Amino acid sequence: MSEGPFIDAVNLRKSYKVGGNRVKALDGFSISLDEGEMCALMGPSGSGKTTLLNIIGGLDSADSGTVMVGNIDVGKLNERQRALFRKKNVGFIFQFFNLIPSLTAMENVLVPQMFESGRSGGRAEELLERVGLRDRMDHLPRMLSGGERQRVAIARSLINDPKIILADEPTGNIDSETAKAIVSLFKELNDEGKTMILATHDRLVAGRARTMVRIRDGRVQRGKRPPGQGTIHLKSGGE
Amino acid sequence: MKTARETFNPASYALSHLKNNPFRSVTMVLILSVTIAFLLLVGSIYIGITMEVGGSKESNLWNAPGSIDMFEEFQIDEGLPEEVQNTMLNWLFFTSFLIMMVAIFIIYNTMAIAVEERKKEIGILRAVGFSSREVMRVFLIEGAFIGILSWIVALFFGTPLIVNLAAYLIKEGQKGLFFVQPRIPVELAIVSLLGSIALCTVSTYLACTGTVNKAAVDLLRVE
Amino acid sequence: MRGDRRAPGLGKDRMAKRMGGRSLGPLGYIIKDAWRKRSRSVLSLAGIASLSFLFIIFSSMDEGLDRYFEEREDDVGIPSDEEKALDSLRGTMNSWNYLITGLCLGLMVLVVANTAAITVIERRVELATLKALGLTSRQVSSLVLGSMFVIIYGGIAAGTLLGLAFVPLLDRVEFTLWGEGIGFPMAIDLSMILAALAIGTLAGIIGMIPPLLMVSGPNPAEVMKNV
Repeated sequence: MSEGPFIDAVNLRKSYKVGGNRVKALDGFSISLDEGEMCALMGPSGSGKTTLLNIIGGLDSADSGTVMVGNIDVGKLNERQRALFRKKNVGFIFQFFNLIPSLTAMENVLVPQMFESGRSGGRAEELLERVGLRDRMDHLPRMLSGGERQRVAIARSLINDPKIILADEPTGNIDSETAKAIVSLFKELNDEGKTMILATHDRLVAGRARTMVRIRDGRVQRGKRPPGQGTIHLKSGGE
Repeated sequence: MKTARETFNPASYALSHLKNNPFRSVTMVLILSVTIAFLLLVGSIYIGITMEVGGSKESNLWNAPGSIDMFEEFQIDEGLPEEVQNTMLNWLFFTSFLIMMVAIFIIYNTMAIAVEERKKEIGILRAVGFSSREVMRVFLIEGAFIGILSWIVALFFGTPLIVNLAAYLIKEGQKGLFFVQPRIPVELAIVSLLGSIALCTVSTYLACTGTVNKAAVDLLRVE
Repeated sequence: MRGDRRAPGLGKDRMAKRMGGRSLGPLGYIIKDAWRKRSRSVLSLAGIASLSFLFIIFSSMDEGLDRYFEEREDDVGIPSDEEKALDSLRGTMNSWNYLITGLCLGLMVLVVANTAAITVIERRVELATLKALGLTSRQVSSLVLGSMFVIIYGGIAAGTLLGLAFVPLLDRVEFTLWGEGIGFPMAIDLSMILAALAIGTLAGIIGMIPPLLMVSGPNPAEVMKNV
């Protein structure tokens, strides 16, 4: 067990140029999570949820502020190191699934290991079995429903057994029935010790998380605590 | 009050599309202009042979700017024997045909991708009420424009470039690369212009026709 | 977990479906992707094949002429009409060959650049996803390069083989559409094949520069934002 927070982001600032305007995506955002915590990140569109996930996962770099994951300063890694960091430690799940259309479900799960020698088809199969899609293993994405595709994406994110799962609106494109199954799956993963950040609008997802952080305009939304004092964790009601 | 239809100018729309994709437009124009330049060359040789066998030194209606008079420059007094000329011409035609095929492939490929990229855009246009013919017109204008642009580049840069390249090679000690003076009479220029436009337009039409005729619903679907 | 696997065999590699025996390598990805986009791949391949076909035919004409005169080097005596005709063409043929070669190279570069750019643009989101999953820029670039070279070498192989097949058929065949013609002697040399490969490789390298710049450039995050 590590001392102190596992994911520690301090005072992140990030802005983009969109068209001719500078848009502030993150404006001094901080968050601190222990290992094995499941956190729901809630906020309206454009509040910076995606940007935060990207920065924590090393997909993007903040203009200022630091991100420590474990004892790794993600901001200081170069592009190549970040890619490797991602591969080993982070599983990404996207709103629009982002599966490779020309590959079957099984092959999609194997994509992160494309350049590695050794056959891990067995592990991929196990993962597909776990998400309930073993019999759809040879289907192409276009033959799968939204929920099924997301499940393949989840299996894909697990192939390297990462410690962290970052999900951006995972249930955004899925009907509510399937969404429930997916949320249960997330809970299972969390019980196994994975640290999870789920950016979402969906109260269903947020409800299952132990911790909830509200984000608005790139900042943590002020709650009862006086401003400027570290992070705010709002405990949601009910487990 | 102006309706959308009244303000919609397919020509400017098409042009802005081309401007926004400089890389693609430039490669298409380059490929086509090389093709056309080559075809112009072959055509001019053909005309030179069939109209004045052996090569006459008369200047004609059009000398591609920057080109040189081969016969004067290199004192080539006699051309090649007739059968040889005929056969060479044969081969050149065949080559031109192949090169034309390549150009058509590329134009088709490029336009097909452009169309697929803009599926959403086309869907929106259709949903707003533009008929498939009107949308097709935009693409055809794009294609025609590429054809015209390539022709200009070929005529003013391509052919002289090739001719001068040939002259350079001749200086290396080879005998007449051109057995007649390549000239481009007005008729040939016009024919090539029409041909270029036709080539592009037909390729574009073939590439677009599938997507453009689909219903708006099918186009806007997010897969 | 051993046992019967009766998964629907939609994939091409039924044979590879053994317990834990499956893996996805970069080559597999490239081939699957090319297969999916086969009509596009075929067009680009056909373009390259045509150009290499052209190159082979003209090179063989040049080579044929050279050999023809080599054979007759020691001949003394009155040259035949045929000889005279071909002799006049010799210098010309050499120059034409250079021209055609240059043309083929140039057009091939353009074809490659075009196809590669198209590939990268179409797959922007896909490539960004690969980066997000932990593949480095270099690995992703190698995938794009790989798929291009499959097309290039495939095209060259097809065009060259076709050309080589046609050469003996067209050797000394007289044909014109009008008037009389003479038959060209045509011959094959190993150097031609090597030259074709060299041209293809060169075209690939030059043509791939812009698209590769496009691949390693943007941040995966920025790309996905625009979806």
